[in-house]
Amino acid sequence: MLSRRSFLQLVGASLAATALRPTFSLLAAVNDEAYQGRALSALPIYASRSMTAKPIAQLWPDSIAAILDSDDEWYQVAGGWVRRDGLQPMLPYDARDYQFINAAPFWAEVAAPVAPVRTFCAAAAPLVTRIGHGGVSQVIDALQGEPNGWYGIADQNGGLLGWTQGVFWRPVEAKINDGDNHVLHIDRKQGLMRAYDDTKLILEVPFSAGTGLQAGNFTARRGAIGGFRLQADKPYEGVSWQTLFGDGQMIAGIYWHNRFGQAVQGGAAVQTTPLLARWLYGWLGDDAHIVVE
Amino acid sequence: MRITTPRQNKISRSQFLRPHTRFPVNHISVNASPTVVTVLPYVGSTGFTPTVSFYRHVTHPAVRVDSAMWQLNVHGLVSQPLSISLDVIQHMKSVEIPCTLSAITSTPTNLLMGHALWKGVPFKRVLDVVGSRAEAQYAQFSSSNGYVTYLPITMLDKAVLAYAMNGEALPVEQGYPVRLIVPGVYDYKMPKWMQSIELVTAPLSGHYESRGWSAEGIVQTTSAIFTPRLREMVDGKVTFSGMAFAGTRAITRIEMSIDDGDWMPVPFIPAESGSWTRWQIDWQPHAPGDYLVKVRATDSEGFTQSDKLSLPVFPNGSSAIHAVVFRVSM
Repeated sequence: MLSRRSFLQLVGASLAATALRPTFSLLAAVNDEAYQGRALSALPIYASRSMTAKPIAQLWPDSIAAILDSDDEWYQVAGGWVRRDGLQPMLPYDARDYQFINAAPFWAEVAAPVAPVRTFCAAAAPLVTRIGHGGVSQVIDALQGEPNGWYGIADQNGGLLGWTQGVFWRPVEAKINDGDNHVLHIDRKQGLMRAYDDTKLILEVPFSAGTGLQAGNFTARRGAIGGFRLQADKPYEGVSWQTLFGDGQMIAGIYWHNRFGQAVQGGAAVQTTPLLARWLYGWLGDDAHIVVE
Repeated sequence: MRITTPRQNKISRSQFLRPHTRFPVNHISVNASPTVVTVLPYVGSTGFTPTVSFYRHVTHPAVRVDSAMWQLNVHGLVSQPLSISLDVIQHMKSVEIPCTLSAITSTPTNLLMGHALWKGVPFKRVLDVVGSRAEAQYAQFSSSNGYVTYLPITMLDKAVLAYAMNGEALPVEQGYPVRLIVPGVYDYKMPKWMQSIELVTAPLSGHYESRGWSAEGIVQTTSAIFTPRLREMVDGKVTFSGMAFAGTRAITRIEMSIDDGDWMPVPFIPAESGSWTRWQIDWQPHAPGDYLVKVRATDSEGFTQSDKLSLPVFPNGSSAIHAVVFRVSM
């Protein structure tokens, strides 16, 4: 079993202290025996940590691969190594845990590697969008039926965006454990966020942001648990755990890349993993201090 | 609704830490292994489409020809016109070629394709016997049922006057006693029940050509999924298999997409020119449910099938891609 520290390294965070609270959602993953990632594309597997060699195999897009080890640029999977930026660490997903919920509206996150959203309840229906693991949307309608029930997902205006198979989703709730002394420093130069409880550093996390991120001192306020966002003119649904600050700036969990620590095209969103965005959402709450340097 | 399934999605660390670990299902080797799946009606145990299930056209009823009376007439711009019986043809030096046939009206959802081993006399050998004159540019073909078509002589280098299919005499439905086989063109350019070949400077007439269909009949790049079948119920691991075909152009890339996700290159062993390329790949779904799988191919001229599921077959044939919905129960 990997240690808690090792798992946090997999998802791109380093544990600066041991004071993480028991409700910290990452602990659920740490306690599981499997550590896995979602292939963000057809992902080449190399025999060694070098892209100059010919790949020996490839992973299906959106397939799940067990992560055996990692370093700054690579994950080890069965048979070899894959580039870290091509594999999204994910919480364990077991379809046996699925229960159809016929009590819309409720918030749900994509528990599977990906959840296609379609115009009507059929796998062959035209695609509306694909929401990756950790994406969060509001379920506003539920239809019990083959194969495992379907959920109607809300668009940004609260209308029906489309339908998705329920088995790919699980319900989520916002758990708030904010505190008066919680401060988040966002270091644009280093691409790191540091969480302090008073003066005690408890977590250091890489993030990605565009050039629109403005410096200043701000107060956090909870935004949508999940929703729509334009990123470099591309529309994304299910952008999760949005903590707002300043004028139109936010911290949010995104599922379409794993290059945190590198700059991205686009505006003022601080991008991090859905796992960490969820924790920050609860930890920052509505009054925590956010310093962007 | 409670899903009660074996614990298949959970991947234990110890499973992967054993020495000499093989790749899990979704770790696809870049080196293709030979395709072995028999998929009736398209592929039998020999690797060819069984003769009995080879597609047939209903628009042209089979013609029963008395082989004792039958002769193939080769005339026109030749030095020495020739009438040859089936017996003589069968005693000429023959070849056997694998060749994929496709109707121009074939689409992935109504696949009129088959792959067979054809035995016969090379067309060029017959030309050598009759002596083609320099001004001859086209071969005009006529069948016993009045069907006519033509091809430029330059496209007939690998053509065969076939009298056997998959090791047996050509069935009536496939053109007994002799039909033309030309790698890389649609089957309306390969007349059955052949009666005459006339070498000409310009084509005289063609049954389909005169109705606006392509004059050359060169096959479009296409691909299809054989397994799983539409709405098939699959238990756990899914074996995708199918074919890609671009006539005499080589297939250079085959890709699959699940649930409209990114395209995944499929490893395959290139086929002979004129034969379909078989492919096969396994996939382990992570949840029960309905899935949509698509396939597309790229040929050696750089053409990649578009994302369109439906394209008109008139006048040149269709290169629409194939999509199949199947259900996984785990």
